[in-house]
Amino acid sequence: MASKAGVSQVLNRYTYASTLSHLRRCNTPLGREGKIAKPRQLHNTHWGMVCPAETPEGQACGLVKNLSLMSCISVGSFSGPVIEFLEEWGLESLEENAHSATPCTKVFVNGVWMGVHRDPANLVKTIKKLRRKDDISPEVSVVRDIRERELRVYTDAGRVCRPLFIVEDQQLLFKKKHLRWLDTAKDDQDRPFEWDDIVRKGYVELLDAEEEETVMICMSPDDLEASRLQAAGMDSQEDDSEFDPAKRLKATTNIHTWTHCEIHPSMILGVCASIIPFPDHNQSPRNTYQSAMGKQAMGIYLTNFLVRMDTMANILYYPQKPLATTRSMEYLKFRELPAGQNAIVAILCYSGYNQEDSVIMNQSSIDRGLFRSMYYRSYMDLEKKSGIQQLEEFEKPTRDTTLRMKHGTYDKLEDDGLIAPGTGVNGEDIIIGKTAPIPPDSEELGQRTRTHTRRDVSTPLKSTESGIIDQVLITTNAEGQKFVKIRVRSTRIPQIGDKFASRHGQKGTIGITYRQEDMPFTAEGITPDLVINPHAIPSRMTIGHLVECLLSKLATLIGQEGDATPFTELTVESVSRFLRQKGYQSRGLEIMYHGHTGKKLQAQVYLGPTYYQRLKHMVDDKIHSRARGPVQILTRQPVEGRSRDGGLRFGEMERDCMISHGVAAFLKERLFEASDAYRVHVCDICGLTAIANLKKQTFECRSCKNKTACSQLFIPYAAKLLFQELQSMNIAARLYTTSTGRIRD
Amino acid sequence: MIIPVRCFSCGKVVGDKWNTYLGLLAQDVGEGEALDRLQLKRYCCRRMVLTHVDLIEKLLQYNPAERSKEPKNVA
Repeated sequence: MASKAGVSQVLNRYTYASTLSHLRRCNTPLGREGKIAKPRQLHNTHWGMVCPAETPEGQACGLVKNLSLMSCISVGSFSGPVIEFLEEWGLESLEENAHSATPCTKVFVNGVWMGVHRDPANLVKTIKKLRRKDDISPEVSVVRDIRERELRVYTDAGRVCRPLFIVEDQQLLFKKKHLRWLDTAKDDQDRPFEWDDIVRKGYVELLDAEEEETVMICMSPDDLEASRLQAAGMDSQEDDSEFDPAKRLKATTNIHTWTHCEIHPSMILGVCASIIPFPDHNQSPRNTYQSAMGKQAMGIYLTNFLVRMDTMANILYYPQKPLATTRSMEYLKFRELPAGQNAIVAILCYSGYNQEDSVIMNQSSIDRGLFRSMYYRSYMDLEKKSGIQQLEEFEKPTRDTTLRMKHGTYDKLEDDGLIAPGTGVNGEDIIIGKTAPIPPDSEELGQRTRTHTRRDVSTPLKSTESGIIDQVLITTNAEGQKFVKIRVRSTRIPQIGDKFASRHGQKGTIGITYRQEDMPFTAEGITPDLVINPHAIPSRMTIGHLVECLLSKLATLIGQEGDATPFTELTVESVSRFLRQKGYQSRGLEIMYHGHTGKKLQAQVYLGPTYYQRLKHMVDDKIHSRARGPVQILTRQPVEGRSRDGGLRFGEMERDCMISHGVAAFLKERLFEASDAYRVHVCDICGLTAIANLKKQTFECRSCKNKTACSQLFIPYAAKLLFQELQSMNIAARLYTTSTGRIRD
Repeated sequence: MIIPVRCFSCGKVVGDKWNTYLGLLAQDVGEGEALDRLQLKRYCCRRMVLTHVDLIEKLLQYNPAERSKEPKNVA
């Protein structure tokens, strides 16, 4: 059997929301390369089952899905009781009824044809009744296909189901008292009452995608009210004297056959999309971008992070709960474990250091702790053993006994070979000292002396990082090997180049930091923490960002969280009215003064608190340059990657650019001198490499018996490699140049 | 984690107000009213107190230095 990749994954522990989201992710094991777009697209039956916003961009777009908040996967139940019940209720078996001419409905259980039935309408009704009474498992689905004359019952595992209120006689079966019972977790008789009881008692029902096709679902209980009034002959659309153009439009229907009702339309969203305030006011790709970015935000991912030894962790010093919240956050515990801060944001062009998605940040705010974070990194090592024979050992290696020691300092190690907590470390300092024995017969390329018995296999700190040893953990693992983990901590203060994002797919890096006195200010004395550029708004159409700011401003003034749940009745008009009452400009604008001159700014500024996230991408982890450095063994070209002090690739497009400029000498320098320049000596007669002894200045081509006519050539090492490879295939690539005097043309 | 000492934006000291704020909330004073009584006028200072999450209380429940002599009651 071919092995499958990506079946087991490490649980994402970046933020609490990213953990939750990871646990509700599903994968479509289809060819990523396949061009067919259909499996990637959102389907009607996905409503309420998978999140319409949360999916990665690029290769896996639409193939990796995330479950909506209330959907669940059926775990499967026995089909036996269902079959038994069907037989009891007049199922005619296949044997007796193979060639019946009378019209009857075929009955399938989990896709197996069990028999036929003559009164399917009643049968469906009774099965559903029994399911609502908990006589049959609630996750069993019953689908009657009238056209095909089929009745399909499913009890198997792996169907995505979602709960809906059951409607009877255009009334919810779920009443106010049930809500009260749920809140107190007790009913009137003091018996425990929880979610399962609502399902078991038949107020709420789980439907899978297929059964959902056979029911009538209304959006809200208001729709039921409307259809009730309509049935009673009253016009629900009574002309309101006050017409509010900003009010959410209601679809008018004449339906009075509702069988179910949505719990809330915002439940179609998944974990990450539920954190976005006013997603219904954003352009849809922005919600997708935020769903991906929310997973990179810093916060506090778990309260026990101090005792955990995660390979990498970022902790925000002062996480704040958002001022604009959604009702789903309650269940995602976003208020308890937040991932961001309410920054005072001005949307303003100020000095030009916030162009092209960069932001200006208040240095004074940073000094007071805004977006300050901690970075933890853990290193792991163990003493390898083979059988009872101890191979490796933690110790402080010394030069006289140990071979191949690294360049970092070993001074910070204690006698047990480990570094002590509280030690400051940087660069390539050794934090775990470990040695392995050298086999007695090994020469180690002549470096070995009599005293050398061991080889160094220590762990140095990552070359680009620094910090303080936070915790050292020593235990034994399952195989009884000595096992060590060391955690290094460092504080990350926001600086130019660090990345931030609001909750609307509006990301940017710091372009410059200004102290409070250089920032614009209002008459009240408020200076912004963050200045973003107005050009980031129109083309992206993230109206939610603006509404969030307005609502958050009001929230601080009245001291209450703003409800930014999507698909609710809240209007900008109503927020504006309250803001006006509090003595502020109704649209959130404020008069500001220039920090340098003290003069009024020409225009009023949109100013208010907005929830911003600090993302894990920080310049200190990316900064890289190289003059000379390590090369690959095979090609002698510079190695790749920052961690290995690699080179920066001068790629095809850069090459094209230089060609069009006509700067041949520069191009040669980039592609040759700065890469893999190499010197060879060739025989002028045969054009193949000659033997050169540079010390004695003798050159010889033995096959040509030639000791006088040899030339020195400079070619890329990769070219030399190619010629040798060709030679191995019996192709002689002969080098003739003008200097050899034998150009064949 | 712990309430910041000063308001990030304007520099007003807010660190001393957290306990008073909690006290006011315990006396069933609304959040907005409590902030008014703490003389927090600008919305930058108000958001500091209003949206602060006092996670330190939760973090302290995992004090690794704390060791009890009696065997723990694992129920």
